[in-house]
Amino acid sequence: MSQAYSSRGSVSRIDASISVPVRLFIFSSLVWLLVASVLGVIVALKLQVPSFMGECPWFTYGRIETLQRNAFIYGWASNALFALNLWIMSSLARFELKSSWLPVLGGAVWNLTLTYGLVQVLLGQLNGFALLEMPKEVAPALVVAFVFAALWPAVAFARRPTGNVFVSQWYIIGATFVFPVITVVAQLMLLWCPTLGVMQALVHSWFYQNLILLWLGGSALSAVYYFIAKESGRTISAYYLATVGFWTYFLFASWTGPATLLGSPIPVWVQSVGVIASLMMLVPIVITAVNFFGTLAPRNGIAQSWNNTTLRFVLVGAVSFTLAALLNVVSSTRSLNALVRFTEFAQAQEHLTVYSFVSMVIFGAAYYILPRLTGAFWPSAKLVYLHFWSCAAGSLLLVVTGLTQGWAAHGRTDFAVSAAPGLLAAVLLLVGHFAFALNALGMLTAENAPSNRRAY
Amino acid sequence: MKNLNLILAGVFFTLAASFGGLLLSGQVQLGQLNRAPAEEGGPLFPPKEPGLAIQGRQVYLSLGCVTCHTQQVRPAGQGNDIARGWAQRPSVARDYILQSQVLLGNRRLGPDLVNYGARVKSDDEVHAHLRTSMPGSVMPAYGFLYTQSKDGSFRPTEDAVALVAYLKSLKIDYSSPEAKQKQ
Amino acid sequence: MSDSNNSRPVVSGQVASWLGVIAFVAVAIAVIAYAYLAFRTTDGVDANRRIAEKALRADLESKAKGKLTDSGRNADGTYHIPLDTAVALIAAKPEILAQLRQSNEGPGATAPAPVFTNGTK
Ligand code: HEC
Repeated sequence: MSQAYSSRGSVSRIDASISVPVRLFIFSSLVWLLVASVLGVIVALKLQVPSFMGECPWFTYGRIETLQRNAFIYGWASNALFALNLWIMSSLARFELKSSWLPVLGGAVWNLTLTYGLVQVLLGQLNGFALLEMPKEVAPALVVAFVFAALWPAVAFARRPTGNVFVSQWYIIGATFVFPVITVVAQLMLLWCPTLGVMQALVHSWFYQNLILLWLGGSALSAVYYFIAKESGRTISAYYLATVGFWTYFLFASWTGPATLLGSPIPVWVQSVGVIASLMMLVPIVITAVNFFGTLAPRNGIAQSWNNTTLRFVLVGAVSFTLAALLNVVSSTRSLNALVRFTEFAQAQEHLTVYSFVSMVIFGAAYYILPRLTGAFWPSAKLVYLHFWSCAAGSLLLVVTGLTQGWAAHGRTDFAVSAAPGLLAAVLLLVGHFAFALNALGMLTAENAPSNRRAY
Repeated sequence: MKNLNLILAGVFFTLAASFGGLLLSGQVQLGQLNRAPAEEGGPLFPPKEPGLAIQGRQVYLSLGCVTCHTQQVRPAGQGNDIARGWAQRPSVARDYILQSQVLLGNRRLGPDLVNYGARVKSDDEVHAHLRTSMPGSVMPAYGFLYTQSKDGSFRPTEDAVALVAYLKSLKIDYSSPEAKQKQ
Repeated sequence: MSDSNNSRPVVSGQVASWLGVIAFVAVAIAVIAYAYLAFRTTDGVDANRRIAEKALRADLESKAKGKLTDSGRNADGTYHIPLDTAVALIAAKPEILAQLRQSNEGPGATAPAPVFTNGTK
């Protein structure tokens, strides 16, 4: 894992220009990550001991679980992706940000709004739509904050000095565009001028799939492309397919919503459209797999990646993406879906996407970006090691037990859950995240002093 | 594809396509639904929700019951919901048209509740279930919805009364034009 | 698209590009939102029905809320007040209890429900 230390020791002008906002985003994401992980342990504990913290309405299962999910997606993943998208795009487009106070303002508003929204949830003001639970005044503020915080990669792209384009850039632009549009539209159709009856469920599925697959997934895919090319020093294999991969991914993913509603009281043709879109997702899945693993597999590349901190995380993320996407295809067939829908199987699939894929990629990227941004070194190799193994084991445990329990549940009619593995996994993740946060905070607070600039 | 606006336009097109194809056409089909009689000249279904049940939905929302309970029964060919006795018929779009927030749910840590009102016998039964935890169940006790009086008996708070009224109003024990076809 | 502008424009090149992206996003949102709202309100009958239903629902809701939280007099002249208030009143003035007993002679005397109704009837 020596790669984590091969920092250049000095900060480039590009990195210096975006340093303040990127640090803010990373710092906020770390805080939310810890919050979400602690909440994750509480949620798991509540399934083990339902009476735990049961005396007060604030800490009922429904609210804590909602809090955890929102803190994780909007607090941790989104903040971190603001940082990643800005950093990757700036380095690809050689962009020096002039008005860094604008994204800083956006980041501040984003996090304050989120805090407000989550406090409201804690107090009992919540809606019933996953990831839109916060009260209806929150989303507009989040979108405005997003506009200030996260549109800069698109500016960097527009103003790049050369005409070069790399596939990562498309993904960033696409993901950035999707978030504000789907959020406003879903808010409009669910909370401001609500549609009638089950249309709400359909709108929500559209929003949800776009949010997870395009905003989180699209941003993370951009990082996978970037770091695989950068850290392996190889050119992406079958690169000419990457364009097709990008367009098919965006085109089909946004139609997959109804595939999560099979059997629900929505028109059958809509469900079928969702199933077809899910099947079509095989095209981008295969293309990204060829791009990623075709690049890394030859000439002992996997083993080399394993010895590189960033690539190790990114590799786990890329494998998880492919697996999760394939599982989504398989489980959108009606017969299988009938068995696993509503069970922990579906939860495990989601975990595979938002954690094992998106979050692991973010971790890997952070190990690359932070040294360059701060000019400091990762304080402890042991913590990096602990972080990787703890999180890898925790998420593997969650996914495997979720899939097996969900599968086993289909023949049964009782509601017994064995919550112990979930609890163990939540603790493992918490430990891993603490290790990561300690290391990263050490770095963010390190003075960029010459004594730190040992060149390896 | 080197120009920012072209990429943005392309992504806009993909989003707009799914928006139009799924949501607008869904709206055309489902946005017109009205209450309907099960038989010619019969009463209209779904029935109007009692005011207290509407209050109760707020309680249900606020306590996040939807994280563990769904409110939808799939047709017999798609899962075993009907075989498990959650309802006699699959739920149809019309069942939901009067609800301000539709809480279909996507995770079943507990039973489906769409027809709970038809299978529960008394208020007391529901109150008892909410106040104490069943042995071995992951559903927590909602003891804070009750106050204990001096003689040791429990009184439901306003929230609990509303919540129970809501749970009891959850019924799809009537028929409807689509429900007959779906069966 | 260049920053090397000697006359220092009011809006720097980067911010101008940023505003351009915002405009694009805003137009996209406006188009989709307009499409939705246009589809939603085409059907007059349906819209009217929905407005009527919404009013009815709001009415029911406020009545329900009133039943739950406001104090008031029932049709037969007995009081209809929230439990908490009633309990507090009785605790403060034990005479009330005696009054209640009088007014509630007969087998129903032990059941406080008709007096402290909470709207479940
Ligand atoms: C942690 C998950 C969880 C949460 C949160 C939860 N429940 Fe449950 N619920 C269950 C489980 C499991 C059962 C089945 C075992 C039992 O009866 O306790 C159940 C059973 C029920 C039943 C009985 C259903 C039947 O068919 O007999 C009702 C009614 C109910 N829940 C209502 C609620 C309400 C109202 C809330 C919110 C205040 C809620 N539940 C929150 C898990 C949950």
